[in-house]
Parts: sequence; C-alpha cells; structure tokens
Amino acid sequence: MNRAEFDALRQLAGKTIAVPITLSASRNHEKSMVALDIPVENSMGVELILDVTFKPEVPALTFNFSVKGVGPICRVDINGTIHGNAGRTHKHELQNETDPRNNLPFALARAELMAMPANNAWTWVCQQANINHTSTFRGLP
Amino acid sequence: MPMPRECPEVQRLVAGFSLVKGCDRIGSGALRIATPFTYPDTSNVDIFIENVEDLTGPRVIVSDLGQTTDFLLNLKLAPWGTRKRKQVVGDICASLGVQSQRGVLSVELSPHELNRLSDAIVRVSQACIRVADLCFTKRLSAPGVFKEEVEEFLSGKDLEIEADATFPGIYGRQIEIDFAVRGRTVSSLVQSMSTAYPSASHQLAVETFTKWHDLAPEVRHQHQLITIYNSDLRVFRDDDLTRLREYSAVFGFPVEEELLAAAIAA
Repeated sequence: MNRAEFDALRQLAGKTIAVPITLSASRNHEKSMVALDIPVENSMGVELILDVTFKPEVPALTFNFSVKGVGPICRVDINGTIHGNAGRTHKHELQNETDPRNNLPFALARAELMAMPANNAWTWVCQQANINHTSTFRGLP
Repeated sequence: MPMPRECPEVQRLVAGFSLVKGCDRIGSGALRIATPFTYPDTSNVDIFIENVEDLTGPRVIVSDLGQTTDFLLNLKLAPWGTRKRKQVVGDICASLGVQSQRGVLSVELSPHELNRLSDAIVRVSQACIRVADLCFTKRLSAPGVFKEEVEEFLSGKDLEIEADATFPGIYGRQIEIDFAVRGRTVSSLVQSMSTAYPSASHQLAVETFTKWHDLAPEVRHQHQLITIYNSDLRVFRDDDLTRLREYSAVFGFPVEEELLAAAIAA
C-alpha cells in the first residue's frame, strides 16, 4: 500500500465498526487488556482491522489499524514507548510502501491525547479516520 | 579534541554514558526508565523497576511490562504463536538469564543484589531487542509451512492447544493428531492437510481418513474431529473431502477461517 492508497482509505466515508469492542484479559499477555481483529467495514473492499491494547498499570493505550497481507498502516499510541522526538503520545502513519513491515517508523506527536479521557481519545481516533462505531466499547477506564 | 589512542581515553570519553535517558513513575507506582536501546522501529526500550513484597519476601522486578510483546502484536506476530517461535524466545531468554512468562520479559533481584541493577537492565533490554527481532523472521519466511500457519491461527484464538497430541487407536497403536484444542464447551482434534502436488493429495486425504477411522471410539465421542485443508492450493479432490466428512468437519483454510474459528471456540 502506498501513501495515496492510504490517504484514499483514510478519507473514505462510510467506514464502519459495527461490532462491540470489549477489552479483556489475555492468557498469554498478562499485562495487557486487548480487543483484537475488529473488522472495519469499508467500500474499498480492503480487509482493514483494528487491534486495541490497554496496559492498566501504566496506563497506556494503543489503537493499531492494519491491513491483512500488508501490515500496520496507522497507529495511535498514548503514553507508550518514546518514539524519537514524537514522545510517548503520538500517531504513526504510513508514508512509504515499506513502512508496514518496519512497523510504521514515522510518528507525529499528539500530546493532547494524553490529557483526554480514554473514551474521548477513541472518539478522536474515529473522527480522524472517518470511522463510525455503531456499537459499544467496554473496558476503557 | 584529539583522537583517542589509548584505552583510558576511550573509557574517559564514554564514562558519562547512562542507561537512564529518562525516568518517571507510572500509575502502579513502578518506575519507568527510557533506555538508549531501541526496538527495530527506533522506539526506545522502556525498563520497569517494581518493588514487590509477598510471601517469598521482598524483591525487585526488572521487566519490560510486556511492551516487547506489544511491539510484535502490532505486526500480528504473537511470540507464542507457534512452537518454534516459543522455543526461540525461550532460547533467547535462557542465554541472557531472563524470564519469559505470559508475555513479560523480566529479571528478579533480591534487595542484596541491587549492585547488579545495571546488569539486569542491560540483560532485559538485550532480551527485548532480540525477541523483537522476530519481526525480521516474518519478512524472510516463505508463505509458511501450512501446519505452522494453522498453529498460528489457532493460537490467536486464545484457546488451550496441544500440538502433536497422541490418542489410543483401535489397532493398538497411538494415533498422532496435529492439534488438540479445548474450546468453551467442546474439545476438538484438528488435522491439517497441505501439498502442492495433486498426485499426493489423494494419499494425504486417505492418511487423514485413516487417522480418524482408527481413533478409539471413546476418543471420537469425546472430541469434535476437524480436518483443515489448504484452500489456497486447490489440489484436493471433492470425493476425498466428502469421504473425510464421514468422520470429521472439513474446513478450507484460510477461505473458511471464520467458520473454523466458530467451530473450535464452541
């Protein structure tokens, strides 16, 4: 996927998450609550999925969008690992075709997300990505 | 500044190097240290220092709080996804004296061992980087041995899985099945089939049919039997798949992965 295709997908209206998102404990990953493989329906026919990870002890929150067969294309990290000058709260975006397999090396600081309640951060993500979530989101603080 | 020509000069030049590029306290009260080490995507490796006191006594836990696992999961690469991958992680950690448990890399120190804190931070950081380098193996691998792809898929469903499980057969021999999977209410035996050669597909299907037929009746009654064939290769004959349906549910993978997921999680 190149930048033009990414932009087209991000700007595409009508993207929908119609299923409930529920963070739950993982038997293999004890420090995180996760909601994985959430389908994002879209009219481009792209297999776009969302993974959400919440680390309550920190607390840290990650929304990771990936395309099947391509890899991650967009990710929002709140209070996660430091990424260069972008700090701990930042947004990753695909810039080049190789970025998915390099785990999206480009990041822009988004420090304002750190002060937001987690539900507001989810609303912000949906607005930025033109996604309509028509169901519930459970497990956020 | 003159070029360093002797060892003491090099030592003096790097004497100011610190493992702690930043430090803050997280919500649980543990300390979070940003180290100069980086993951493959150039983000800094964080090391967490946690004081714990329980029945075993006081100790200091030096860990990554599962952030290395988070890094790999962003690439849809679960460290526990296949037996081979679990073994590699285990070998990496063993070589560094680091524990790997439920997605967390850690070293424990007693209060008398705090003079080894730097060593612990370096060892856990090394483990983080080396385990994170599993992301490069995903790039290098061929589309994958089918059985490993199935294992990865099953592991991603957060179910209890045993690979190469054996069960008693009606002719006195143990029957080896690729995977035994425990769902919410149903236990499943899963056998995978994949070959690139149409000429070999019939024999492979017959072997799988024989496994199901030869299982002791009590084993067949206690388990849901599932045959998974590689749907990308289109080599399996309809009559072979129909014969397998005499004993098992048959799913093409990945084309029917949602149906398969529902069946094994039942």
